[in-house]
Amino acid sequence: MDTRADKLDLGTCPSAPPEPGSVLLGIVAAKGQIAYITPNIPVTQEMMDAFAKDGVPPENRLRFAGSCMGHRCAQWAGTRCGLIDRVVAHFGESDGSGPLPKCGIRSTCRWFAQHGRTACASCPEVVRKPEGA
Amino acid sequence: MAEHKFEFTVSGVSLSDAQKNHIAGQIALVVTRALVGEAPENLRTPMWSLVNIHGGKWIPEVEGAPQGFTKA
Repeated sequence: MDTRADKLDLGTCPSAPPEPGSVLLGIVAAKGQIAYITPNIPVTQEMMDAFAKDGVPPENRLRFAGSCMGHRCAQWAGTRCGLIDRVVAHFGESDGSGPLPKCGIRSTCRWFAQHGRTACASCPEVVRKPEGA
Repeated sequence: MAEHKFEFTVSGVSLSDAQKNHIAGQIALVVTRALVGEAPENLRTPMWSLVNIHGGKWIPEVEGAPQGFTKA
């Protein structure tokens, strides 16, 4: 499925808000564990309404991908995504071995472009909005 | 790496993009229900304490500033 995120130079943000043009990247099954869905599913209002009806908090239990907004994003740090830099700094470098999950955006992922496999190891730790935040 | 593939084919009719998106959306819902159950709890990870995460959405600079890390 062709998405807006496929067409931008800065790549795809794996922690984007759900909005027209973004896609469902995966489901946060547990803390630090994401069930990635491929191919990614386009976000629709109908889908978001259904999640809301089911009591699924989208910014906490779902992960969406969309266009990297570059300098228009609060996480942008000069020429790169500052968020994944901090995530990797916190969780550390991966050992570079072991299979990676089948992720639908890796070829264009902004985080993967900056940190490679290490970004994939830390990616499941990110939730956008925990309860009470 | 555990991986589970479910493959279905709809054959014999032409589906519109809206219909295909509807089907994909319903699949997403079913998978989500299976994984998170009814009334899923919110999760907290150390990352939220490290920095507010609003990836892809512009927010005021002060709101996006790094926070001091505290154990979640």
